[in-house]
Amino acid sequence: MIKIIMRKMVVVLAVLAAQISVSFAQDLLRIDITQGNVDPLPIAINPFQGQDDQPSMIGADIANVVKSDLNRSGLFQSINPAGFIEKDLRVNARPRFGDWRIINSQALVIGKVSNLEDGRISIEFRLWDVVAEQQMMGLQLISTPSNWRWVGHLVADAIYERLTGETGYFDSRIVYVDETGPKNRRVKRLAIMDQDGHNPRLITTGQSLALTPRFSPTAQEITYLSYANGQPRVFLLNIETGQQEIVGDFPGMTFAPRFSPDGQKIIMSLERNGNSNVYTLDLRTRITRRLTNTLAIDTAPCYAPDGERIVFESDRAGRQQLYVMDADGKNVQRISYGEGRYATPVWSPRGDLIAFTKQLKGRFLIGVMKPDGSGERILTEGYHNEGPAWSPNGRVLTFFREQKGEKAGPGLWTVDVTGYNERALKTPGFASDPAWSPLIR
Amino acid sequence: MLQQNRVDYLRSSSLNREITLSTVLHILVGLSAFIVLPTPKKISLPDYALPIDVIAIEEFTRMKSQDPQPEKKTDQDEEIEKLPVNIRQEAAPPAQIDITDRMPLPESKPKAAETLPEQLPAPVNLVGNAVPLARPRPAKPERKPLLDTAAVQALLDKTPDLPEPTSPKPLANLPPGERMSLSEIDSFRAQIRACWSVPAGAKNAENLLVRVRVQLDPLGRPIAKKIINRAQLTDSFFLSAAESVLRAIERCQPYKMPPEKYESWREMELNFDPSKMLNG
Repeated sequence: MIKIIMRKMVVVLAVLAAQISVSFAQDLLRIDITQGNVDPLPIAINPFQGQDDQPSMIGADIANVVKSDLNRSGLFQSINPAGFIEKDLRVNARPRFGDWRIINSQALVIGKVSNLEDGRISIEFRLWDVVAEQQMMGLQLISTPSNWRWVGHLVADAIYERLTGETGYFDSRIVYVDETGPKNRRVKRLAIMDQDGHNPRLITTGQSLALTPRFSPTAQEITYLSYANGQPRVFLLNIETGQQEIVGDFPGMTFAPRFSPDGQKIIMSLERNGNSNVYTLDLRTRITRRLTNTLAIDTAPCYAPDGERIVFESDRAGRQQLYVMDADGKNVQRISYGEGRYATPVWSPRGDLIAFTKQLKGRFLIGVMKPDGSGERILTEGYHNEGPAWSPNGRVLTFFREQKGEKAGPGLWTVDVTGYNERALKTPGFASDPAWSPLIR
Repeated sequence: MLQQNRVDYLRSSSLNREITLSTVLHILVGLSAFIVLPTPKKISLPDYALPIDVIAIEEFTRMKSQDPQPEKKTDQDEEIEKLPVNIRQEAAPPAQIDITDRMPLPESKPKAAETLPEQLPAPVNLVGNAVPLARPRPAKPERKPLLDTAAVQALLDKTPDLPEPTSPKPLANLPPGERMSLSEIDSFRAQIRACWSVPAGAKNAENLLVRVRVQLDPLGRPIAKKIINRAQLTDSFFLSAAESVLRAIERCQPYKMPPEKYESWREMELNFDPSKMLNG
């Protein structure tokens, strides 16, 4: 009898257990959303207010810098202020979010510039999420009035970082080779400008040819190649102080060296007896170390951002291809397998991509691939595109493009890593060989 | 006869036992059903009023006079995101550099330490601290919650009282006429597609799958949303993707859904998966 009861209890419990699991089983409708848009985020940027004329003017200028930085990135679309419904919004007041939603804004920036007693200015701003009706960020910066452009870039960086999750890149500079004169006798000098093309100025005299500037990852310094008396010589130039020193004479060098991520070494390729190999030079000990040892031309090396690996170009397989090896030269792996010739590889500061120039059937293409060689994508193609350089956040590439014709010359361009938003970067004259600085802050 | 009687007796008492057992078990089942089965929870719909600020002119003038000076942050108790900032005064490099008098020889000398030449102003470190702004003091009396870096999660957690997984009716139990058809599901997808911005260039964008549980009211308006896969929220790219998804859900309302099938779409789980779009 008890056995019967026990058996029946077991059955009941089993039924109960089944009931429990069924009722807790989430029988919800599950929908996969796999398609969206890649539209830029609409953002409303108010001119930063000031109590007097001077702070007001600075405030308007700062807002314009923020607007053009964000628009130029291709990820944002600033809304025309003529369409704003709520006007004269104070930085410490809560916005009427309905007014901003109606004009389709998803984010809102309000700011204020005030004079401080010691002659400096204080810049405050808030970034609001219009849809969630929450403040996303509030920040105050203090600086001199003459630095308003810099402050604008810092504000743009902060907004960009908060909304995209990426590190910003607006607070940076681009160094390039400024070219003047007839095509067969170009004067090539180094120039530097803000990443948006403002404040261009020359930094070498042009007495000797200056080529291939490269930025240090740790300081506002560049190396570049100059031919003095026909001999290639590497210089190290500090952008802020203007001080220069000679790193050395390197007969057989055709590209300026690149820095290692810790700034302690430089990596380069040197030609000896008809072949070219990759070397590193420790800047403290001055010890040179050879990393590749083939009869092929191994050149254009570039470190990964963690310093553990190096990508370079080699024709050891017959045609120029890309290879990755460990920082000590071991473990060389080929990563490019497509048609065409691959050259000038540069590893993204984000570490996830390698950009390169590819020549295929007379066309020049700039592309990216993952460090294992997969996922090759072409971002742009043209008559003569070359020399990609990454922005400090690994999101944008700059490169130069030659135009056809006697009177034509090279110019700088930028493109987003998705291939969208290809834009010309305005320079006073012809420009080539860009290099992008790390963040100045 | 006795045998027969015994059988009868046995039968009757076993019958009684069976009946008793059956009754007991029925009661148990009834009790367990009482305990286990969920009670439909009341979802109170918030008021959906258009925010209209009626400000008397006196309030406005009062607001103006209260306009604070560039605030020192000591009296504020909330800390918003800090962005460490160093603004250096730009040392204007000269347009031309004379390199003839720089002569260090590379082999014998170690790398020269940078010295600041006297004629150029040294870079000046201005105030390095970017001070976080306080929350605004709103004119209305309502108190806003604290916003700190962890409260970015609060931004995402729109549903403090999102009921624990209890579906009003398991989908399987719904009659076919009350379940969403494929074309209706596609129509919903199309509606939300217009609002969802895919984080195309983000690092590892193909892994930025955001899963959200959403509750809709009968008019197709979202009343509660919650990110389910919260573990990745520490990644700034994922956070940005998650915020973008929540904005998308909010923006595209009201969703046109078949009203007679409300039970099947009142609570849904949405998987926003950019990988197919990005991998081509």
